[in-house]
Amino acid sequence: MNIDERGRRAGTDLLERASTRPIPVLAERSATANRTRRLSLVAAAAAALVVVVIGVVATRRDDSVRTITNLPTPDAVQARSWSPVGLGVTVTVPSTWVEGGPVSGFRYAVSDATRDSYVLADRLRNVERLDVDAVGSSRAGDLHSLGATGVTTAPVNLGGRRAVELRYQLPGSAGSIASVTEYDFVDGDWFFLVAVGEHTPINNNELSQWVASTIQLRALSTQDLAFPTPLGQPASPQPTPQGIEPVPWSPTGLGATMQVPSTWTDIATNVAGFDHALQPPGGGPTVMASRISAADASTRETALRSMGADIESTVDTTVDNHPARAIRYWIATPGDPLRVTLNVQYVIDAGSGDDIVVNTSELDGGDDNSALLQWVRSTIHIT
Amino acid sequence: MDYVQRSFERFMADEYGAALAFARATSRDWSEAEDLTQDAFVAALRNWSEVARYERPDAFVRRVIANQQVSRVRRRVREFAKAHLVASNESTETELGDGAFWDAVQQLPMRQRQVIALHYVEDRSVSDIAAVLEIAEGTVKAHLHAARHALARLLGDEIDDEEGV
Repeated sequence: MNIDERGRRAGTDLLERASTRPIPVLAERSATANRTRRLSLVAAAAAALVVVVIGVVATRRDDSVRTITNLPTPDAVQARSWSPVGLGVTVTVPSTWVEGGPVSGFRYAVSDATRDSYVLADRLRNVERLDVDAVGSSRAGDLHSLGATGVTTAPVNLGGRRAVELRYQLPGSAGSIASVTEYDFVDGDWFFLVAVGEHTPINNNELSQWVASTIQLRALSTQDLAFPTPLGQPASPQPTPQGIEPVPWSPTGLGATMQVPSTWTDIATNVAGFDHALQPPGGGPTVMASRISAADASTRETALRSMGADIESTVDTTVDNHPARAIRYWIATPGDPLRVTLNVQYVIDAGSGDDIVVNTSELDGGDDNSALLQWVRSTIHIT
Repeated sequence: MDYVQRSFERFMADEYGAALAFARATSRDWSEAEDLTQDAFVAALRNWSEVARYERPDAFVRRVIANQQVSRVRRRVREFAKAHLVASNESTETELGDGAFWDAVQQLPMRQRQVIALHYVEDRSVSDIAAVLEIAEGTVKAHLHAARHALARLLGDEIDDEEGV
């Protein structure tokens, strides 16, 4: 049978079956809406600001571009510059503020001692090359899905650059409310999120406004752009990270084995098109693997690009003494351009006419799992 | 019932079946598909004053379904083993006609499932699919090419390389 004839026949049949299903009434739809909202609130409580979902909620928008001028340092405040390596943003904060992070999905954080007033920031790959307004709009959708309320967006000029200002409230711990003003920027291959917040009932509005007015992008240096782990496989297996109980993972038919945390579990076999995949219960960093033909292996980069991957670099290397290519790339989640994963993929010549692909993936931003995934990659052994 | 709500009711009556078919083609069961579809129409209703002005409000509904599926896939990872057991007890054939075809579709990555559903169920063009999913036409072609070849391989069917893409 021809696949297209079969597909059309199956599609027509499904359409007919769907058309006979009852259309729900408004009351049922309202109940569904309430359930969806509860899920969003649960997601919010679970944290990660740079996480997920649908951008289909009403957001108040102001279309006139306001210029934010640099405000004078408040009385009795001693100022210092905060410009962590890797971020590409400079903010002036009180000298008493201390660095922390990652916090709530942001890799970089600085706050007062009580953490009632703070700046959270991150630099993420703009895989889909969104303009700043699209980033702000997408971010507003994510915030809604996380349970943020009172979300407003407005175009602004800040630090000499066009940005989007988002104002919102998020439920914090112990019943407090986080009141946040966030500035989103786009520059070249990156977008930047800088959130200035305070927890109620604290009211440091003057301080927060001053801090926000000092936000500036700065040029990214080689040091900022460096990755925490090398792309190729380390010469020998890395020591097992502290607190990890290792177990061997040898997917059927793969022809390779590697060490993984014992708590990780098998997930859907078709994740991102891979035959095998593992990740911690509840999600997080992921290891995926497949055996592919040498012909498919030779066009791997093309295939990745066709799926929307933004390839940072490719190097020829060896994995367990087998010739291999190592590819580092970012890819955005379909429909969620701000949720980007950073991947390292080894395409290994298994010596039998086939290649083995091992791909490690982690969310760009948020918790750093690079050392853990490098350990997994360092233990790959071709069987 | 005011004019805006009447207009929404008509839109929903016209579009619900096709939107549900799209959701069902890319979901595990009717229950999940109906849940996704209803949530998408709720989103449309909430924003109806704006969505009604869109050139293609039907695309908005499909896009919400597609976006929700991505987030649900993440949540589903935790319940994968259980879901697999549930799915194995269902008779896809009696539910969906050509059960083998839809079982094979379920083996594809989510984006390929969505492209296949829009192509075969709704007979949409590449440019239309690109507009609905807000992705490049080249990406649609790549997904469609990969998905058709994967389905042909899984089902042992013939494939005409000139078709579609």
